[in-house]
Amino acid sequence: MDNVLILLASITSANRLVYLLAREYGVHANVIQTPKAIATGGCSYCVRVRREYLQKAWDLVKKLGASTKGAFDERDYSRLL
Amino acid sequence: MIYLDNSATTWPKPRGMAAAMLECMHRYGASPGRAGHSMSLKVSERVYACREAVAELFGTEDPAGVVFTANATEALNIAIKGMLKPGDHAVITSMEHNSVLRPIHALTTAGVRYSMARGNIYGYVEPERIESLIRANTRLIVATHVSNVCGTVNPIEQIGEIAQKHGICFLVDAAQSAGVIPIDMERLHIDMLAAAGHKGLYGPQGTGVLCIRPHVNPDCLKQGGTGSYSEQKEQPEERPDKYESGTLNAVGICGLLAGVTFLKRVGVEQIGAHEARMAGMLMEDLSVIRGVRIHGLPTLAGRTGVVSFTVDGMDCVEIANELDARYGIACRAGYHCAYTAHQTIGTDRTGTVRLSPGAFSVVAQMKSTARAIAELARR
Repeated sequence: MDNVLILLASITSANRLVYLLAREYGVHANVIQTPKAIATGGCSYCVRVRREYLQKAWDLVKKLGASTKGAFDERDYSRLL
Repeated sequence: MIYLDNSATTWPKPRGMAAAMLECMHRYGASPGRAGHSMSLKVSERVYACREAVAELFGTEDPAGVVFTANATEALNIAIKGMLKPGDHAVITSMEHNSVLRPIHALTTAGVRYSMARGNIYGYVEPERIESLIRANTRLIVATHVSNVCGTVNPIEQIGEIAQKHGICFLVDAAQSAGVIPIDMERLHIDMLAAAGHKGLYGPQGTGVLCIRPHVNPDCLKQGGTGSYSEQKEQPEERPDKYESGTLNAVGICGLLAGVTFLKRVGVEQIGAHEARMAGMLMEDLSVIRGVRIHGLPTLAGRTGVVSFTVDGMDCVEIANELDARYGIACRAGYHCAYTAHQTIGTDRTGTVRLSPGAFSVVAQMKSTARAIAELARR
């Protein structure tokens, strides 16, 4: 599965993004533990979503004003945004 | 036991509320927002689901602005002390509970001033009275939606319009109205709303909420670990983290979610109508008992299910004790942590006996209660 990870500082923001993706676009996403390769400190969560919905998810993150440290490819953790 | 003390805390709770708490405790009772393991993520998702449910219930656009507290008192303290600074002025009503009056009064030592809009003999506060007390430095208007003493409903829609007109923050104490009267924060121009989780929201004790609209930014009362931004010394500004330092009562919040889900299923208006029916029966039966006086509004219009009464020549605490000991009826007597409300409705010398039916009260219980009071009044 071709997924991306959006790194968020707050669990509430992460859960909110998951809810909004489902409610506004019918898109399934889930919150996971931040992989070590992209973790910066201990306090962050990732929202995993299919790559095709990255822009929608990113736009929602910006609309929420949530603090994010970027979006990454789940396969090689390369930074996408 | 006939339980008529739902204004203090609702009982019984809906089927499934306790089960929701036990499920959390047994299956995923980790700390939400503190780790990335599956149990923590699961409980975090439940906590967030409760934020969404509460935000929808109160018509506020931002679930992140739903702050979990231990009770309505804590929520009110955050709102009041977070907004008011030295030199500020606040307007409150004479029907406020001590959870509003005491924190505001305590702030007077820090240079805050307040004015009290007095209600009429029925406990109703005219919006114009509130507006007449506004000053150039008024920063906050606080009004209880429903009196915990006599059930009178205050005109918060008009008060909200006044607050908006003057650019003043409006805080509503919804401890007695949440889950009984539909509330839409956006439509009613409510900037902050405090509610108990364990009263009309049918959650467990130890839960409460403060809903903060996005354009309002009170200071936080406590700082500490938030599970976020650990590297920074300053408390995060991101909500709800800003206001939720320390481990959340996740088990309680799971129970609160079950309670709010129950409300959504049954309908807030339906529960309010049911409680009003129960109160109506009580008022009808009590009104014909010699020596019994019902306080607050004389009819159901403009009030909720809370009924306060006195019996001529009888001490109200004695009445409540007899109702409990002889008849198994639970109610509360005295001043109900709202002495200025009793001054307003003219019961400051005696206090009152307060009967507060809930969603699970039934007709037979109201009839039994009225009979019991009639017997006591005859003695």
